[in-house]
Parts: sequence; structure tokens; C-alpha cells
Amino acid sequence: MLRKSIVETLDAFRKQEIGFAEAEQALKEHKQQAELKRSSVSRAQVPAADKSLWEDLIRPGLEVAFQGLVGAAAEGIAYLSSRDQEAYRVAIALAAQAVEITEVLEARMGLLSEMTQRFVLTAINPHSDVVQMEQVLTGSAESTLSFLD
Amino acid sequence: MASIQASGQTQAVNATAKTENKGLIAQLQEQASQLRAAAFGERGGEIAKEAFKGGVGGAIIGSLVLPGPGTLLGAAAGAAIMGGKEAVDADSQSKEIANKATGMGAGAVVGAVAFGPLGLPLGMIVGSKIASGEAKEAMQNMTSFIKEKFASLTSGD
Repeated sequence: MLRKSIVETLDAFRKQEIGFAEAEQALKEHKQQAELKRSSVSRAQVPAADKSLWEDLIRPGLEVAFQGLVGAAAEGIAYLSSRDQEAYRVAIALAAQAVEITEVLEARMGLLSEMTQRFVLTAINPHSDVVQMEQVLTGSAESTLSFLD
Repeated sequence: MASIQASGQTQAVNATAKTENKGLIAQLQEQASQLRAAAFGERGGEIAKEAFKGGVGGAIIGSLVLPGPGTLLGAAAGAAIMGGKEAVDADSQSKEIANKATGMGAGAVVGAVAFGPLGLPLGMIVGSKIASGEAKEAMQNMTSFIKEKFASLTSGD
């Protein structure tokens, strides 16, 4: 069964479909996953032809989007304890904003090489993890992408 | 390409993506749509009012990057995006803003494609008490990113 998203987790908690411990665990996992993905994106090196768009828009965009998910999860965890509706709204807004940013990035990545596009799509796929992301870059002998040490 | 209806709803994004990516992109767009629905779709009128407030908040953010009537379109777009079309229809003030938005030129619509979806959710938390330091930092950085990159997102291809 697929893991619930941040919003789905908060929604399920509000509806008392899941308890505090389960919701907290799920949000902590989301937070950790987003932190790892952000770090992976920061370290990724792309082919020279992609560099300009990558450095100017795609990488910083992905970084802030993942930071948004980290913030959403953190605020969601705060909501679990406080039940403060303001914290809930902030968590949802941050998650929504992160998704909106990735949608705009998708619309701008047509000029990237196929491999870099695959990396970005794997990164923003909520069902893929950082290992799968890095496999895109390191799984092929012909790969021209890499990570900084 | 992307477009915004008179009500401010986004219609289509992503003509640049390659065919083989469409399944995943469609999946992600569907998730984004579900996300909004899960967050804002279940409480009807109350949510609509909140959504409109969000739109106005978004305009505050938007005014930093798109002064003038574009902020009105952004507000209408945000109200529609966050609360559904009913949010605009149910609220005469937001309906008026949507009407003004309809009269704007293509350039404003292009701007709103980037501004509308990007500015508004953050607009919802302008002035909010934010419990987590990480959330506060994320909001600040996303806002900076939107401001800084707006020109490149909307410049002609």
C-alpha cells in the first residue's frame, strides 16, 4: 500500500482514521525523505548543456520545494500536538506551494537532456526515494551526471 | 502552455514535457488536485471565504512581483484554485475581481500563469502564526524564489 502524503496524513488524523503515533511517524518520514532529496539535488552535477537552466531555475526550485515539504511536515507535527487550525492551514499551504513549484519546474524542463529530466521526475515523484533518484544518475555506464563528494 | 479561465482556474500545463513523461506528470497533477481538494474541498462555504482571504493574501505576495491589476487576477485565480469555482461564484467581491481579471490583456494572463498558482497558497499564511521554525524558513525561501525567478518564468519562450 502506498504511503499517505503529508496532506492525506493530516486529513486522516483530523478524521480520527489514524492516531497520533502513526501520523507523527508518517510526517517524520516525509520530513526525512524531503531532507534527503533536497541534499541529493544540491549535490547533483548535470551535463554542461543543462547547466544554465539547472543552476538558474531547476535546482533552486527543487531545493525550495523540498524545503517546503520539510516545513509542511514540521508544521504538521506541531499541529498534531496543538490541534491549532492555524498550524494545519500553514502545513497545507506549504505542501500545496511545494507542489505548485514543481509543476512550474516541470513545464520548464523541456530543454533539459533526457537523463536530467528523468532525475527531476524521479525526485518529484512522491513514491520514489533518494536511492532511486541517485540510480538515475549512476545506474548507467554512459551517465554523464554525477554527485559532488 | 497554460491558460487561466475567467474564473481563474488553471486549465492545462506542460506542453513541453516529453510524451513518455506524461503518465507521471498526469499522476503528479492529479495528486496536486487531490491535495487541494483534500485540504479545501470538504467544508463548503466556510472554506470559500477562507480561500478568498487566501487570494487576497496571495495578492500581497504577488504585488511584490506583479504590481497592478495582475494582483487582482492573482487573487481571483487563488480564490478559484484554493476554494473551487464555487468560491468565486459565491462571493460577490471575488466575482467582481474575476470580472476585472477577464478584461485584462494576454500579457497579464501569461504573468498570472506563473503568479497565480505560485503566489496564492503562500498568501494564505501571510500574517499567520507559524509554529515551526522550519516552516517559517521554508515560507521565506519559497517566497524569495518566486520573487527572484518570476521574470524568467514568464519571459517568452
